Amino acid sequence: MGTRLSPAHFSHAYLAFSGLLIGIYFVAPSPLAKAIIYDSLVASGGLAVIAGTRIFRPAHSGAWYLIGASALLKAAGDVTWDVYEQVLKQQVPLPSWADVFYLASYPLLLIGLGLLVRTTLKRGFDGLLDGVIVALVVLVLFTEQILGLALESQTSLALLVASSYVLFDLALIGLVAQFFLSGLRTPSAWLMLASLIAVLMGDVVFAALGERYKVSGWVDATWQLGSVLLGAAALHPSMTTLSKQLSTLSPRLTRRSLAFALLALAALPAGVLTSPDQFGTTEFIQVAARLLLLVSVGVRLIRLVSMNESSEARLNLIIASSADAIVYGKLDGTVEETNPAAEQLFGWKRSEGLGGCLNAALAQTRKLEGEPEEQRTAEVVMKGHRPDGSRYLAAAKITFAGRDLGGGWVMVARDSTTHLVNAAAAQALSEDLDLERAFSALTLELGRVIGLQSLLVVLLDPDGRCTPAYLSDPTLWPERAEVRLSPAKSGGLEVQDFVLSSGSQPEFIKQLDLGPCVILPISYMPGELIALVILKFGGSELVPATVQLARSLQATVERSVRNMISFRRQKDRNLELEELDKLKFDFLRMIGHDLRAPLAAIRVGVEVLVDQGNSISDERRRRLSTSLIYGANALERLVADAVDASQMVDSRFPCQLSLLSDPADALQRACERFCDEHPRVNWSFSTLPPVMADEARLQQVMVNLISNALKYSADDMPVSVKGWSTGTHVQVRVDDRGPGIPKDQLHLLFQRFSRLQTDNANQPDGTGIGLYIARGIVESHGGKLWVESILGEGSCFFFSLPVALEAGPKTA
Amino acid sequence: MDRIRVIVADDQALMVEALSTRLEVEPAIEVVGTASRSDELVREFVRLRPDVVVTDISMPGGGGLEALRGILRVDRHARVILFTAVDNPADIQLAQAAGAWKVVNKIRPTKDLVAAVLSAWEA
Repeated sequence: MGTRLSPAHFSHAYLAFSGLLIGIYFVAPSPLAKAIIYDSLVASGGLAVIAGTRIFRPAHSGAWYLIGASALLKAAGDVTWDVYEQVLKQQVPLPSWADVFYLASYPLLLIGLGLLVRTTLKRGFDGLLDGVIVALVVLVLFTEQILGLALESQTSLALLVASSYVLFDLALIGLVAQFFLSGLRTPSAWLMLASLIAVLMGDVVFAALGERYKVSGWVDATWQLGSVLLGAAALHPSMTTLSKQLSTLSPRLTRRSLAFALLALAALPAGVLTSPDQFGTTEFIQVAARLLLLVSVGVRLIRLVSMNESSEARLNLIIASSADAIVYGKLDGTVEETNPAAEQLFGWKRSEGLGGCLNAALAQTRKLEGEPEEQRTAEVVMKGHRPDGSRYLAAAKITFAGRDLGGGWVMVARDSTTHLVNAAAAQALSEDLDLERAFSALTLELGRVIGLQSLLVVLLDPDGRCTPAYLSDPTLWPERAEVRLSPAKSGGLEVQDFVLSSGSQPEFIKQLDLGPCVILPISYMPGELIALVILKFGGSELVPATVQLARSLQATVERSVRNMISFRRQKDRNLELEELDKLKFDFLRMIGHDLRAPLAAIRVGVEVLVDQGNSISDERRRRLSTSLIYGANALERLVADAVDASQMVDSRFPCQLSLLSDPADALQRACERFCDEHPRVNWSFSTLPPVMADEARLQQVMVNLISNALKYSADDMPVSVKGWSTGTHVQVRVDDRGPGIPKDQLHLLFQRFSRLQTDNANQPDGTGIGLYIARGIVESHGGKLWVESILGEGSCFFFSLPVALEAGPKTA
Repeated sequence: MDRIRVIVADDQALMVEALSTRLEVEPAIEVVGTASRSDELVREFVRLRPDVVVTDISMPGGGGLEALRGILRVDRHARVILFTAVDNPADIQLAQAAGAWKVVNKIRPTKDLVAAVLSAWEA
């Protein structure tokens, strides 16, 4: 694979080849050979322009074709000239046919270049003025040399032709000046400029030499070079950008340009005064050119000054309307300029000079002074007090202004107080989900950045009771204080309910005697107030800026408190579940043991019957068999209880309720189950209204309560069951004459998986969950089950069921 | 020949019934008393002074181990067999340390218990 041919290579190759030909031109043996080389090179420039335009297809190809045509016309002129000299062997007259081609080439070149300048630069009147100024300067400098030759012409036609060259050259100089002043920076543009300069140089030197001009000299080489460079410019790929519009470079009135312009203005009239004695046509043209130049420069200066004025006004408007504070200061600390945003941020007036707050900026600029130019900026967070006592935080960028601007500094500072304080608060609060630890960190942080003095987090119960969850200072909460929000207020307190002056604070805040403080109400959901965060700052009055800042923390703090309370609730719930899990484990162990004992007894009983059946008396066999049946029954009850307990949902037992029109009958049948074995059970039921009930489950409750009463009371003591109606409820009570239940254990009676810690002497069979199930059943009926007990006298269990309001099946 | 006088104690009435029946099948054994509570067992022991005691560990009235200690306080040579569903080695060790003659698991066939009673008397 060979080297890849890039489009730029056309231009380079053409330049190299043409350079070689120019070298040969100098050493060519005969004038004819020189003429042929010369004409070929000039013509090649025109052809190259047309070729480049076809290859790269620029936006304004018409302009390029005009330039190419101009170069070809010039070549035609050169050929004509050579025909005069080499073929006709005669002096070229003025004017000649060559001049026709030469002069025809100028307008095409001017129009082509003018089109490119127009589309590329768009500098309008100012650009034109710049070109005119440069052309006039050249005219003034070379008046005698350029015009001298032209004015020496004998005939008026020759004078016209000679003058046309001068005028066209001046126009070209103006265009070149526009290119120069526009800041074009592409290889093609540079080649184009070089070409125009070469052509103009040739023309000027040709005019200056006059009679001393010799064919085949440097002037000819310069002209050839001009044509070749033009071709190379068109062959370079960057020629396409010459046709694209560049962003306008707005000229600035600098010290240097101003001095230069003033010098030129001062020198202009001097030229007029230098030769007053011989005032000919040349002098007249020169004076006219100088006056025109004076006017042009004057107009250009006025336009520059007004442009600078309006750009300064725009700049001032930008600075004044900036939301960021902008300060310019001297190294000694005096503020020279500020904008309104700076006055607002630092809280001082423009006239009041430097505040202490800018010491940080000062220190930074001193440090920057030693740094290299490009590193003389620093970014700092500024912290300070405003004169009203409020605090601010600002992210600032400080730039050292440099010695030429008086060695000061510029600071652009953004008021980031709210943002930074909120970020610091969020950071502190995110460290820990424990409310107390997180708020301890927050208090520390806010104390550091905005001078917070103390902080309280008060949790609110649904009934309005306030308990401190965090106190930055324990003395803030009066010892054993029972602080309570009025019940009406605890429901829907809004931000505006909390006002700042101590005079109008809510009553319970007044009790704390905190003085002016900002209160952030924290709600869990809309309308559910769960906490208050109270922020207290130093000083006897709260500055509005401080209040605003504290209030800006509302969202951050609210989110965190909510998370923390959720976390706390979750933790409590976990503890509860752990406790329940432990109870469950204990229950399983207990039930395992409780099932095992009767099972072992049954197994032993059966074994005896099977193995020793023949060896024991009929009487014993009968007794053992009966005992076995009782044992199996007890075991069945235990298993049924365990299954029932597992069905409970939220302490309620799923029941199928239906209308029970005669509850007394159902209750009585439950009692009758005991009458054979336990004649000491006696009952009495008045007529009872219908209830919605699950009859089987209702009987289970009765059996449980009566069995318990029998179990816990001595064999000869009666158990009485009564049922009556209270109008709204059917009520049943079961009395026993047992040992009674200690008051501190009454609440354990109905708990899941718990058994009374009483003397085991009175702990008969059973898992102790019968009452838990019984209560679950009664509550599923919409009723209540409770107990009253007197130690040493006995216990009395009650339950009540609501009287049915309407008939129809219902599932609870 | 005198028969071996035994007291059987268990909180399960069925267990007392079954064990008594089983033990009395043996001509050498006579069940002289029963108890369903540990404190009751100690009282019966003092009253009847049996040769061997067969008792459960988990029992109301203080538990089998408490009864064992009570009996040994009355007669430090008393032979007490613990007949239990407890199979935790630590509990068994505890029972032996407390002075039980033997610990027999309830899941074993009853002839193991009979053998234990006989060996206790012979020893």
